[in-house]
Amino acid sequence: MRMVIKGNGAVAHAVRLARPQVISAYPITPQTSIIEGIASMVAEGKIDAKFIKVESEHSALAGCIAAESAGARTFTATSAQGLALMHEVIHWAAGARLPIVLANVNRAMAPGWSIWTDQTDSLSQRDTGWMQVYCQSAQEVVDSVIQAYKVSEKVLMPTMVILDAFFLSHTYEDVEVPEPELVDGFLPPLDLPQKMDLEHPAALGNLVFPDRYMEFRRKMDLAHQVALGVWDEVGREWGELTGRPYGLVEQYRMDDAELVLVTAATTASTARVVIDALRDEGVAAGLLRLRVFRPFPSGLIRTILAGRKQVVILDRNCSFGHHGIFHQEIKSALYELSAGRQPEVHGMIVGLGGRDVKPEDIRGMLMGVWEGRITEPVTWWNVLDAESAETGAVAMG
Amino acid sequence: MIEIRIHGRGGQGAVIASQIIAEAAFREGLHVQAFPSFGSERRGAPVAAFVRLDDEPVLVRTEIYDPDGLIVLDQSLILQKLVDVTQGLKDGAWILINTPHRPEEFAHLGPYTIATVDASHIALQHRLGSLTAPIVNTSILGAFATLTGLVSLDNLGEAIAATVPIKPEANIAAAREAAAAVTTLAAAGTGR
Amino acid sequence: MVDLNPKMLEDIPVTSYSDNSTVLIKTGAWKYVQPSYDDKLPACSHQCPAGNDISKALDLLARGEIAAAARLWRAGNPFPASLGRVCPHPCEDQCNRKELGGAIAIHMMERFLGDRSLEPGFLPEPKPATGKKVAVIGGGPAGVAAAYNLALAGHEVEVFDDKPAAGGYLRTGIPDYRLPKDVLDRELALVEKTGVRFSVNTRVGRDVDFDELRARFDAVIVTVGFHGSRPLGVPGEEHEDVYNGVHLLERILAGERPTLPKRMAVVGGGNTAMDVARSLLRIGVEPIVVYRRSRMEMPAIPTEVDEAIAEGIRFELLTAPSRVVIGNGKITALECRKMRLGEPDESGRRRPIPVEGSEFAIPVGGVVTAIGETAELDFLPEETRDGWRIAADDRFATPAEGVFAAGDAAFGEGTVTAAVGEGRRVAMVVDAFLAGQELPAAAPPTQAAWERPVNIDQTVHVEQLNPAYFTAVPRPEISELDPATRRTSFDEVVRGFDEEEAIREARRCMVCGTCNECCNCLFFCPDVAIHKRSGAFGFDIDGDHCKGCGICVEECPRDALSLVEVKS
Repeated sequence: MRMVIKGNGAVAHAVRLARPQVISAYPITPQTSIIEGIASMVAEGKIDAKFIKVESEHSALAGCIAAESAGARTFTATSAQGLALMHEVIHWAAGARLPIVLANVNRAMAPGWSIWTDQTDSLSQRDTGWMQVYCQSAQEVVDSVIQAYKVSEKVLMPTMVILDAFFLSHTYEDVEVPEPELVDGFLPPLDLPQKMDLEHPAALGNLVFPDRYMEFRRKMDLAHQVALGVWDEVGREWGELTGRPYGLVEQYRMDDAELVLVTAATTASTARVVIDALRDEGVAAGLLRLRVFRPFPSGLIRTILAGRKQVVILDRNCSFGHHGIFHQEIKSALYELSAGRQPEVHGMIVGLGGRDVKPEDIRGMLMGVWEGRITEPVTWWNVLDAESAETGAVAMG
Repeated sequence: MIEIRIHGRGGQGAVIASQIIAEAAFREGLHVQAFPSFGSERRGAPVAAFVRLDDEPVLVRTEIYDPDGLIVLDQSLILQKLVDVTQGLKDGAWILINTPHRPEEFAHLGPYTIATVDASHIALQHRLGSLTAPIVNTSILGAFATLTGLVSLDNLGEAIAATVPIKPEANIAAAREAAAAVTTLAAAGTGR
Repeated sequence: MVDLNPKMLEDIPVTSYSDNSTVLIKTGAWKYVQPSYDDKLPACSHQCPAGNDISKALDLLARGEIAAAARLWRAGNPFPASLGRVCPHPCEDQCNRKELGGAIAIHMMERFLGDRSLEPGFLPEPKPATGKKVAVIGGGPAGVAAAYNLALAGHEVEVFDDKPAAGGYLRTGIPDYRLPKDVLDRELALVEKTGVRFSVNTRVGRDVDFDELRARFDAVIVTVGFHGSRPLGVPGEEHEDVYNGVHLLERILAGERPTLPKRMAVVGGGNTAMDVARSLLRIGVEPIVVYRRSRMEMPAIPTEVDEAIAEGIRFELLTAPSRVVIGNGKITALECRKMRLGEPDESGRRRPIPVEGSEFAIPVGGVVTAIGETAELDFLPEETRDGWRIAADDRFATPAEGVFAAGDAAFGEGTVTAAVGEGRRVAMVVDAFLAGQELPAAAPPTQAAWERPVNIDQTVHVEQLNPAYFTAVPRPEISELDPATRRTSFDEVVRGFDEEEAIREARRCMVCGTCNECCNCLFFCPDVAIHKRSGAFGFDIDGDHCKGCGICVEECPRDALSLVEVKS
């Protein structure tokens, strides 16, 4: 059914369709309307789940961990400081191999206090074992939440479905929300292979000695490797059912592109307009959109970018003292290319704390690189100039 | 693509108005996008909301900087110069203002098509909101339908019913009344 | 089952998970000590002269098992309702809660459980009849306690009392405002239900011969108690308005209202003095208590003194009578001397020393003596007497074969609670005697007769508790009639607890030294070697896995577990 809903509403509808049994969440701007929507649906009987009101995000995820350990499908949602507060149990959920799905509304970390979008909150959880999917539209939010359950439950790894604050969370748009029967056919009820069982008592999360710990970690890493294929396969299956196929990444006008923009989330949607315009002007520009960031489709990205002339990577995040995080990851993926196939790579730190990334910004960055005006490996875009004499600012490379 | 900016004060229903336009245009078969000004708002402070309408899926996901039309829910925002409402407004764009005054009195705003409707008066007659704070968003959208022809009154009515939880009938009746009460002063050389 | 020797990554579970139980490794083989459930005496029960199993009963009460708690309390004590009202509750002085919000109001618990068990259904099941017969001389608390326990042990018991009704001091010495007599009557009726026969208005030596009793019964227990106050030993005390406190109190309690002088000196600092003074007040006489030592040395129950002061009774402390002043045939004053306190005497209290030249007169029309009491033992054979006491040893036996003794006339403890305890203990001795067993060197303590095993050699004081588990909870207020009403009424002064109050107070009890199945031992055992018994009280320790680490003993909040050496 087509309807006009905002990104947060898209999450709530997708959760309804995924039929979780336990939802445990704590409100935080800009995530609040997700759990308001879900709470209303639970109260109206549209979701047959136990909604646990908790006193913190740490407890919210702990509640999901407990319920999921007993074999229930669960959901939670949070943002920024809330995600950071969850951090300890974020690791636990992944280590316990619980296929929890969490929606994170990207919001900048304080201080300064901010409620606007920024990817640093989710990317700070990069190394926990959670899979991460970045969405560019409310339609993708609906589709990705449902797919996330399927992939997570196949590979036994939790997934974070990520949407930009306001640009996606609070923007109403027309969305095709699938019928329950379609989703029921796509997503079977959860049957965890290893769960709490009163008939067979066991210790979960027990002490593991050095002779075994690495094996458990190895299994987590293997699960991510398997997940690369599963995301691909599940995205294709979803496409067959709905006409909306998904992959690990999305390529737009990439066939003969020499100048490639790499970015994720809503900026990628906006960028298409710029790519079209540049093409009209005769510039061989293309877009590579990152969708599934963990597992990281390193080989796929390497293949796509091999032999391109210039690559411009937009990071709405920064790992201080180094590059933007997407930039680092893509650069490391390209290392294995032979010298002649290595593109020239430029990182752009943009849009932190919700600063708008307008078409003219994207055009400026791309053309700056294309025309040789931008040569530094990393540029902080549209930011007040550094007092070079005072800070000794140097381009980082 | 048509981009619309709605100016109002916190509590007047600017954000709901953007949603209703999106719902109504969606029923016309258009692709839509509606969003509030991002941030924290308080009752009475100037706020804005935005709408994009297009035959194609809307790809641009930024704020709106150069709209094709304006809806001003509160004339005092203009009269007291609280907000530069015409900032970025395209030449020849339309401005719909909730005011008892005639459009000529707003001609100084620039080369725009000015339309006026006394939405506050209509809202009060339909007992929408209170004397101190009439809810004007649904009334003025009737005038919007007449002015722009982007949405039919029937689809506007459905959109109101789908979006407004309280007194949908009174809201729809107010919108229909305002649709007939709008006065328009076309700028020279502009259409619509 | 998780593979303990994986060869491939696939052989290990997806995440850390173990269904291999610690049962696999028998850690119990190397231990040198092992824990053992070992209930000990709580400090309160250690101090209880009547031998009540306080901690166990309060644990039952705290769980809402009121009937079971009441039944337990009445198991060896025929007077919980009465003692709950009159006992000076030394248990509370020792209660381990004292510094943690205030002692448990144990006497209120006893009273509540006593009042809840005034029906025959709360009596223990008597043992089969033995055919043995016991005579008890004296129907006071010691005699009735002995009779009650012997009857429950299956013996035929007859109690002889010279008064029209049994009860002894509980009836004749304690005013209604402390113990309403219908409470006493109902408790005595329950004793009769156990088969005890009461022969009242029967004075041994006058109505029946002592030797005849010895012939008719297999054992005789003498529990005649004290009667009459000792003389003051001052000039003028033969005057008719100098009264014996015990006898005067007995008359007032029987309902008599003798014509008395308007102001009277009550000489003494014990419970009888307090009871006399407060009873005189209620029949319109102004009493003045004269006591030769200070408030601290008063043998009366402190709350009784508090209540007397609250009722407005005047006290002349550090004052001893030197002469009864008589003019025109009437007493006009009691001449006294001030005293000062010297070194402690053999009773541990500081000895009063007269202050020379400190004589002064207290104007009164009469004097009541309440300075210690004597027994009337003329009916007993010479060899069983030792001055004004009965010659009884640590086994409660007298030199006469088959004649035992207990109570004030034998040991002079002076409280009804001690008398009940002695009654319980003499019953144990006589029961053994009737069974033909050799008597122990000393009568066992009352706790030896408890239904549950308890290590009576060890007492749990606050130092033995684990402080991590207890926080201060305040002791509740105990409500009393206001002093103005009390001055003119024999209505009961203290209001008892209702069910909610009683249970709430029982929950404050830390159940010292007594396993209450809190399960801490089970939770803390690192080897899962402690198992709750199903369908029965308590736990079993799995010796194959208990390695004697002692954590359960350490973490027992109430010292109900001990480590014992393992015999190899």
